Amino acid sequence: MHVSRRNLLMGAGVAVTALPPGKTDGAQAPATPGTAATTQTTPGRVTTLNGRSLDWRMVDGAKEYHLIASEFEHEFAPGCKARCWGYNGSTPGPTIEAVEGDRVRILVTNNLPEPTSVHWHGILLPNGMDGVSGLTQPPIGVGETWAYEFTLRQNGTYLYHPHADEMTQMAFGMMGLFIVHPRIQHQPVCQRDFAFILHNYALRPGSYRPDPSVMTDFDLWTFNSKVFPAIDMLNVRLGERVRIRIANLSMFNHPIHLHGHRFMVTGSDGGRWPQVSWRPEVTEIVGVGQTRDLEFVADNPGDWALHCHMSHHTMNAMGHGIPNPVGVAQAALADRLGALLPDYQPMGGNGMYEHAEHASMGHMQGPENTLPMAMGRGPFGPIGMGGMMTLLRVRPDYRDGVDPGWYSGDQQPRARRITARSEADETDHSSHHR
Amino acid sequence: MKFRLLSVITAAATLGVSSGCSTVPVQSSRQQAQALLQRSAGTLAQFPDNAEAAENELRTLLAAPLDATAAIRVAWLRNADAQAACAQLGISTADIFAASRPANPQLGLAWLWPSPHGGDRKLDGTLGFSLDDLIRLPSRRQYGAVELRAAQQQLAAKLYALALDTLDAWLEAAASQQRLSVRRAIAESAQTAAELAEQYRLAGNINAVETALQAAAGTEAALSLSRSERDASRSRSRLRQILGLTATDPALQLPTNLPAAEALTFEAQQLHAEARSQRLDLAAARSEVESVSLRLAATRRFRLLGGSAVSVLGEQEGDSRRTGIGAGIELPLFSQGQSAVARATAELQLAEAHVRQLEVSIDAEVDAQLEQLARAYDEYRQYRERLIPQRESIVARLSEQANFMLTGPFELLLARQQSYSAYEGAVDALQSWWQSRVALARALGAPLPMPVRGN
Ligand SMILES: [Cu+2]
Repeated sequence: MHVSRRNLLMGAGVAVTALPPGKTDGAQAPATPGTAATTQTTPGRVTTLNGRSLDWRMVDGAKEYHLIASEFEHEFAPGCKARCWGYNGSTPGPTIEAVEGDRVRILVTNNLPEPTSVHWHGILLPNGMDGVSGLTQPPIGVGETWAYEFTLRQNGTYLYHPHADEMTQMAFGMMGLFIVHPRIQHQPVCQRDFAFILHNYALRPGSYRPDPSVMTDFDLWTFNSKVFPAIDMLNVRLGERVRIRIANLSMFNHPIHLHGHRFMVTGSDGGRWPQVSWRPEVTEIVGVGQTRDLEFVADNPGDWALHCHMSHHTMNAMGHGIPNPVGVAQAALADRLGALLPDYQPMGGNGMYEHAEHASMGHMQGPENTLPMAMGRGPFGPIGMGGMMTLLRVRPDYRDGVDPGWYSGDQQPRARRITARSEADETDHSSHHR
Repeated sequence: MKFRLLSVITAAATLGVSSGCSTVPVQSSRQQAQALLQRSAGTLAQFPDNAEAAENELRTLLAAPLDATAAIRVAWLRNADAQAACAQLGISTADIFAASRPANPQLGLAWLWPSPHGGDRKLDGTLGFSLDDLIRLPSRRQYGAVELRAAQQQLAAKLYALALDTLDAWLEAAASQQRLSVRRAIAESAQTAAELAEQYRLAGNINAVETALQAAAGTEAALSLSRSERDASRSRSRLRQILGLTATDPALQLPTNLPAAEALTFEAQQLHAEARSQRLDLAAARSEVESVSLRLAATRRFRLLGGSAVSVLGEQEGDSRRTGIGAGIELPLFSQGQSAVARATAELQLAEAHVRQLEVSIDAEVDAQLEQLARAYDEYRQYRERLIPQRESIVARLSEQANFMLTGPFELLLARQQSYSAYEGAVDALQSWWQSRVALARALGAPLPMPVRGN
């Protein structure tokens, strides 16, 4: 909790909104799907997956925020780090939250090695505050601090990101959410309000800095610059109304799919949509540079996957263009390959499941600073995913701050084997791993 | 004068009697050559007493993997050039021995029958000695001894050179064998890739071109292996030849690895000096200068002597008998021995030129081989400490990548072949180092460098 004394002193009339969000730092994500965004969202506040909101103080009648752009080491998941750029030591930078009608002043300090600027994506503001370097302002020089100041005349899910050398700076992780809450809460009220940004990184296996020159062939597909299973899970109590705000600053459109529920698309970076425009979906494409608000009642208990539906976006780095091993009888040459290449484990002859199995057990030596393409282990074996994937965990008895564990579903039907157990399947998937 | 002549005759007669049954010292001459060789070859240059012992030793040596020491022993026992050089010393020893002996006296007899017209039967006897031969004998013996030493030094030098030639051939054969095993591994890797490509093709996963590329690479590696086999076979038969082995001798076994190189530091100036004191061929050339100058001195001293002789004469005619002495002397009217002196002078110049030429070539060779040795060692170290670990690490890192489906097996197998090629380069550098070591020993006349430890 970061309740600064200053906030309490300054916050006459803003005490409620000044309450910081729950601590959701997923610094130590386990090999099994990650830590949870654990605290119920205060109405009018969002839970930033693996992140936090930015503190502010009242100065001369404006909420004053301070973003400091710099380079730092970022962890995508345990076993994979890189030198990234962001704000206040994180990528994405802390979420800016404000209320429609607020006057905001955002100080930006540039500790990067090159000039930058900040564009307030989707916010209606005077042209000189739009943050397009060279067009609406000179760039923010190295070591300089600049101020942006404007009044918020809308509410919704927005973004901030550089508009100077965007190719490099965004490829390194410079981005953040800008949430403008309505003066009066939207109805029906959501008890949970989660937010994350979709992004991609070209972090070549074994390297330690993303490559900004890459246009399509990315290695890591992220929710808030984390990959499964290090992405915070969305834990909710059965029957709660849930909002998920998704923004996309990557180079692809992502069809985000939620299992077990049908949600309404209730808004975008154009603001909240009139209810007649809401539409029910289970998959919503969030286009590049767009945001989407999804709302639903979590009425189906269980562990539900929330992921991009492009299968290569729910996995980590993989070679594209390597010879396809599926169907290849490598066994005949196994001894000779073993003698020539003792560290090599030929696999994939029957598909990639075997790979996920070995990776989830940590049986396979891969390159340094590189995650297996498919990872994660659930109660029934390898989950075999990565990238843009996390879980919505719906429990009747969920208590904030307490990890609900895997869904046991003892009273619920579950798919069952009706033939004899396959001889070939030597692994024991019956034990529940945690 | 009369007294002197008599004493000469007596001396000659005594000499003739006393040395009448002495033998030519071929055996001891060879032992002296062997003692010279031992200075650079140590106990390795001790030879069995008889042919049977030599054959037994040979059989033992050829039964085990042949290390460098064994190879030199076999060459010394079997190589026909070595045997010819020993025989040559026998010839030289015999010639020099002969030259150190006085010429045998000449006994002449003549019968004259009475003629039909009268006169008695007559019997003449002459015992003649070559006088200048006797006079020249002491100086001939003096330079004969030096010539004998030179011949022994030449034999030792030849056997030493044979040992170094054998080392060269052994290194080539052992290195070729090692290269062969590397090429075999490369071929195995390339052929595994080709067969793996077949499997990928059968599964329908790669096209005809990709399959053919792997197949062709496999065939090329097999051809390269075949060339290596030819090289290994050629160097082996060259080694057999220098060892003096025939078809009935057993097949050669060679050690699997060349011995490791070591860091050596030399002081070039000191090596030049060492070479001048150690080189057997230089010693032989200097002995040659010494003997030729002794011969020149003798030629000068006796240049007017010519073919002088004394003789004892006896005559019997009827009942009358007479004895007397006679003498003959070459009159230096038309030749005063100038040509003999001129020839001996030129021979001395020739011998001196040979010494100078050897000295120059020794200095140049020492410097050149020092440079070769240092460079080959540096290369060898770079292979061992840099390239091989670098190539191995590429294989290890690529294996990790392949485990994570980031790289395919063909790239990995190619990297494996490149890592094997680095070993081949190391073998080449090691062989160069050893051959420079041998060449340096040859230039120095130094104790034999013995690559006996495997690595
Ligand atoms: Cu996607």
